Amino acid sequence: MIDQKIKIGQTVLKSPIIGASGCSGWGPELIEYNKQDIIGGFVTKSVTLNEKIGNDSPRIKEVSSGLLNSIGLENGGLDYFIENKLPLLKDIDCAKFINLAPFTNEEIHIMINKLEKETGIDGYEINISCPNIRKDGFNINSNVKKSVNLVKDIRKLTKRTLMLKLSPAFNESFEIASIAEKEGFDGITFTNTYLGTAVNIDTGKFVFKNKVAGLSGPAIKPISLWNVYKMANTVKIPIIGVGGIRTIEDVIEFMMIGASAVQIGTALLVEPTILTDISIKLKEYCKENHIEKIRDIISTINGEEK
Amino acid sequence: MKIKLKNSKQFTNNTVYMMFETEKMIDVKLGQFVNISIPGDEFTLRRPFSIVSAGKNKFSVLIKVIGNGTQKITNMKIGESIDALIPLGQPFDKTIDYKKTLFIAGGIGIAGILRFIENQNAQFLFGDINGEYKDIMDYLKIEPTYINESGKTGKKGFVTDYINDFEFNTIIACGPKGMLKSIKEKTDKHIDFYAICEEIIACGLGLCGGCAIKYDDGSFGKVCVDGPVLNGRRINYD
Repeated sequence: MIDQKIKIGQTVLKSPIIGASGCSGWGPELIEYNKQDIIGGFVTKSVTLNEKIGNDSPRIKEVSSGLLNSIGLENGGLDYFIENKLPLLKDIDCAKFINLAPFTNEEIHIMINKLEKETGIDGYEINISCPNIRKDGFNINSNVKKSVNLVKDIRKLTKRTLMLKLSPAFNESFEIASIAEKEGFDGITFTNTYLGTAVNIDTGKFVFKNKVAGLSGPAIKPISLWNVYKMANTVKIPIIGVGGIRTIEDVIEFMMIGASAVQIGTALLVEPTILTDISIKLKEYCKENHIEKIRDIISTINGEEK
Repeated sequence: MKIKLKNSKQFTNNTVYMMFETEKMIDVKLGQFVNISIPGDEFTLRRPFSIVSAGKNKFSVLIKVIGNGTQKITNMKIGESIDALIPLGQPFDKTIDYKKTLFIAGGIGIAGILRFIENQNAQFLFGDINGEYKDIMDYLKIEPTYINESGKTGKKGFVTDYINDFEFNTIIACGPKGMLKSIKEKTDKHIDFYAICEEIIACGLGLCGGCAIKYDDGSFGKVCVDGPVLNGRRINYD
C-alpha cells in the first residue's frame, strides 16, 4: 500500500497533486473532469473583497511552450463568493483552498473573519503576487515592508491551513517567505507566473491593454524548479511547487528538489483530467521504485532530510 | 475523447472541411463547439471550432487556416486520431421560427451558422470579400443571398446593406466584430439579435476566464461557458 498523503498545516492531501489557482475555476468545473477521491485538491480563483471585473480582452496569448495571461483577478467579490460559489464546494471531498487576493491589510482581515464563519474550506492561499493589477506588474509582493505588514497578523485569525503565494519576479519573495514562516504560515506556494509581455507588430502596440502579463506553462519549468530549490533552502515549512508542470517526471523533479506538493495550472487548461492522471501515475511510479511513502522523496536531491 | 479523421476536403481560401468519428457517443446541441488538440509533442493549447454538423458518433468542422495550430490540425491524414473535448459551450435552447429568423454570416463565420440552417428553409445572408467561399457553398449545396465587397459572385456591398430585404424578428449571426457591430447599430433594438462569438479560448471549460467578452455595462461574459451564442445587443464590439 503506497502512502501518497502529504500534510500541509491542518490539511492532509490524498495526493500531492493540486489544481492551481486561476486554472481550476471555482472547483466544480475542475471536479467534473477529475476524481475527487484521488487528487490532492484545488485552489479556487482569486477572491477579492470587492468585485473586480477583470482586464479587457485579449486576456491570453499563446507563446512557445507557454501562455501569457492578463485576466486581472475577475471575480464577484467575497460576498458573491460566499453566496454563490462556496455552497458548491461543500460536497466535494478533496482539499479545497480559497485563494484570497487582498489589496490592504484590512481587506485580508475582513475576508478571513467572514470566511471563518463558513464551512467547506480547508485553508487559505493568500495571493499577494498577481502580476495583472498594475501596468508595471508591481504588487504587494514587490515591497517587503508592505508584505510583512500584511502577513504578520493573519495567523491569529484562523486555525485553517495558511499558504502564501509568492512571485518569482521579485527577489523580495525569499525574505517575505522567511517572515511568513516565522509568522506561522503553513506553506509557501512558489512560483506564481513570471512577468512577460508581447507586442502586436501590426499595430505597434502591446498585445495586452495592461502591457504586462503573467507567463506560465512548460516554458517556465526549469526556472521555477531552480526558484523552488532556492526557496527550499530558505524556509523549512512545506513548499507547494508551481511552474510549468505537465508530466509525472516534472512532479518528481519538483518534489526531489524541495516541494512537498505541487500545483498544476496551465497544463490543466489543455488536459482537464491531468490531476487524476498524474495522481495515478505517481502511485505507479512509487510502486516501480519501491517508495512506500511519497513524502520520502521530498528534498532528496542533496540527501537532505526535510 | 479520441476522434478519428474520416474525411477531409480542402477549399480555396485556406479553408478545410473535416469530418471526424468519435470514440464515444456524443450529443451535440445547437450552438456548441469542440476544442481540438494540436497534433505533435509540443505544448500547445487546444483550438476551438464551431461544429457544422453532428451525429451520434461523428461531427464536422470547417477550419480556416490562420496559424501553426490550424495548419497542423488541417494537415492530419485520414485515419489519424487526436484528442478533443466535445461538446462544449451553452446549448442554444430558444425555439427558432425559421420564417421570421434571418441568419447572417461573414467569411469563416459561416462555420457558426451552418448547423442552424442544416435541412431548413432558412433566410441566409452571406458576405465575403471576393467570392472566395463560393466553392464551399456549392459543395455544401447552400444557396445564400450572396454579397461580396467586390460584387464578383453576388450583390456588391456588405451584408448589412441588404438586411432590410428580409422580414424577420430575430437575427442569428456569426462573423467579424465589425459586421456584428453594424448589425447591432442598423437594426431595431426590439429585434432579437444572437451573436455567435469568437475569442481566443484556452480551456473552453470556464476554468481560466481567458475568453472574456465585454458587455456595454462594463461587465464580462465568458465565450466558452456563457456562449458562444450570446445576446448580440449587449456586447461592446469596440
